[in-house]
Amino acid sequence: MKAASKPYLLAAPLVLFLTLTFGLGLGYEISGLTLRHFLAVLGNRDFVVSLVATLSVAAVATLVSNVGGAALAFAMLKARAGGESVRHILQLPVIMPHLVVTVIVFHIFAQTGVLARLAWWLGFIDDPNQFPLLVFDHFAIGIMLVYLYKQIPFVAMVCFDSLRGISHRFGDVGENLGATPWQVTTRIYLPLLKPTLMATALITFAFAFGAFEVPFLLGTPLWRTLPVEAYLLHINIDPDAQARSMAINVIISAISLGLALVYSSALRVVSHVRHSDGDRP
Amino acid sequence: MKWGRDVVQLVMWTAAVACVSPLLSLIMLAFSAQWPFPHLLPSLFTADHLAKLLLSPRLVEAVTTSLALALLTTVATLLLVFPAAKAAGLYRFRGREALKLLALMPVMVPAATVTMGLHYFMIRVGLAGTMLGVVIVHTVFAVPYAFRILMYVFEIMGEQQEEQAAMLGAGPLMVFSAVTLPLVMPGMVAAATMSFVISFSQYITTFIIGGGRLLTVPLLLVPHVQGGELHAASVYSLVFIFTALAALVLLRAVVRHYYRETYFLNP
Repeated sequence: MKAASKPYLLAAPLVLFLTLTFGLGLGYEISGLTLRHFLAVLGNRDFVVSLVATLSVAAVATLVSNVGGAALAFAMLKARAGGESVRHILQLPVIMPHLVVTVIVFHIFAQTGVLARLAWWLGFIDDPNQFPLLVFDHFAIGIMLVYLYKQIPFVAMVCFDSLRGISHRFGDVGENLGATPWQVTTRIYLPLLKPTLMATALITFAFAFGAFEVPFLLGTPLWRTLPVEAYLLHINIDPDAQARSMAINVIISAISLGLALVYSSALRVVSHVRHSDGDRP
Repeated sequence: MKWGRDVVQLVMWTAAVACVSPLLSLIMLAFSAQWPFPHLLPSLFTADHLAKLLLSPRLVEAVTTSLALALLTTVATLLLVFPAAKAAGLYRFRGREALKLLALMPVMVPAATVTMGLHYFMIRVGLAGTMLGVVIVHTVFAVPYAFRILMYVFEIMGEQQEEQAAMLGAGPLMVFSAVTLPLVMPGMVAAATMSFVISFSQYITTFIIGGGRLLTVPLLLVPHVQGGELHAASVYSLVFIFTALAALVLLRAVVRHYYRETYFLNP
C-alpha cells in the first residue's frame, strides 16, 4: 500500500538543501582551481606546519577527552548516587558556548589570570611574566583547555548513559567466574562501550579539527590552524591568496570526508561483529 | 576496597568543582569594578559598569538580531528535517545510509570552510549581508543535531498509531495534527532547543555571510576578547548565556502549556 517513493519524497527537501549548500560552496571553490594551486599550497612550509599542528591538536584533544571522559564515566558508575548528581552538573560545560569558555580560559590561565595570582600569593612568582605562558602559547595549551573543558564532560555524559543502559548481568557473570573489578571494566564493559567511544571520538576530533573561534582567539602567532589560515587568506584582497584559501578549504573538506567515510565503514564492522555475537543486552 | 570508594568520591568532587568554578569566576569578573594583579578577589564589586554595558544600544541590537536569527533558523531547520527524519526513522529504503551520512556532513566539514565557499556564491546572488543568507548557513549547521534527535524519535514511535488513525477515517491533516505531532513533540522540543543554541552561538558563519551588516551577541563579544578587555567580554558572555537560557525556558513553557491545553494525558 505504501508507495516506494514515499521516503524519497520526504527526504528530498533536506537532500536538496544540503547538496545545494555544500555543492555550491565546494563546487565554486574547486572550479576555480587547477593542480598548480594545490601543488603550490602543498609545497608551502606554512601550510605543512598548519596541517601537522591542526591534526596534532585535534588528536591530543580527542585522546585526552575520550580517555578522561570514559574514566570519569566508570567512576560515576561506581559512585552510584554521586554519579547521578555529577551527571547533572556535567550538562553545564556541555551547553556552555565555546566563546564563553574561551573568555573563561583567558581569565583563569593568562599571565595575570586567576592561577597566576594564586601562584603569586603562594610565593611561586614575583611578577606576572614569570608565570608560564598557557594562553597564546606555541603548544596550544590554551586552545586545548577550552576543548577539554567542553569535551571531557561530553564524553563522560554519553559514556555514562550508554553504560547505564548495559545490563549488570555481564559484570556479575564475570565476577562469578573470578574476574577482578579491573578485568570486569577493561575486558567486559570497555568493549561494550566501543561503538559509543568511536562516535564521541569522531565528534571530538571533527570539532577540534575544524573549530575556528578558539584557535583564532587563543592561538600563538607562530602558527595557525588550517581553518584560521584559510580564513585569513580568504579576507586577503590578493587573488592569489584567495586561490590558496580555496585550495586549503578543499583539502580540509577532503580530510573531513575521508574521516566520515572511515567512521561509517568502521561502524559497520563493529555492528556486524556485535550482531554475529548473538545476545546483546 | 574502602580506599577505592574514597578515590571515586574525590573524583566526583573534583569533576563537580572543575565544571562549576570557571563559571563562578566569570560571574565574579562581570560584577567587579577593579581587579588588578595580584589580588585574588576583586577590590570592589559594583553593578554600575554592568548596567552601563547592558544598556548600550548596540547590545540591544545584538540581542534582538541573535534572537531573530535563532528563531528563523529553528523554524527552517524543523521544516527541512522533520520529513527527512521521518523517512530515515520509519522506512528502510536504498540510500537511507547515504541520507544519514549526508545529514552528518555539517558536523564533519568545518563551518568556516563551508561558509567561505558559500560566501562566493552568496555574493553573486545577492544573499551576502542579508538575514536570509545568514539563516541559510546557520540552518546547515543545525541540521545534523535536529536530524539525529528526530530520527531516533520516529524510530521509537513506529508507524502503527498513524496507521490506526488513518484506518479509523482520519485524513492526512488530522493524522498529522492529532497523532504524529503530539507523539513527536518532546523530540521536536529537543531538536528546536539544539537548533536554537547552535544558531545563537555562531560566530564565523555570521561574520563571513553577514559581512558586518548583522550584529549578533558573539560578534559583539569577540572584539573584546581580541582586545583583551575581559571585563566587557565577561558581561557579554553572561548576557549570551542568560538570553539563550531565558529563550529556551520560554520555549519549553509554551510547549508545555500547549500540551496541557490540548492533550491532558501528559502531566
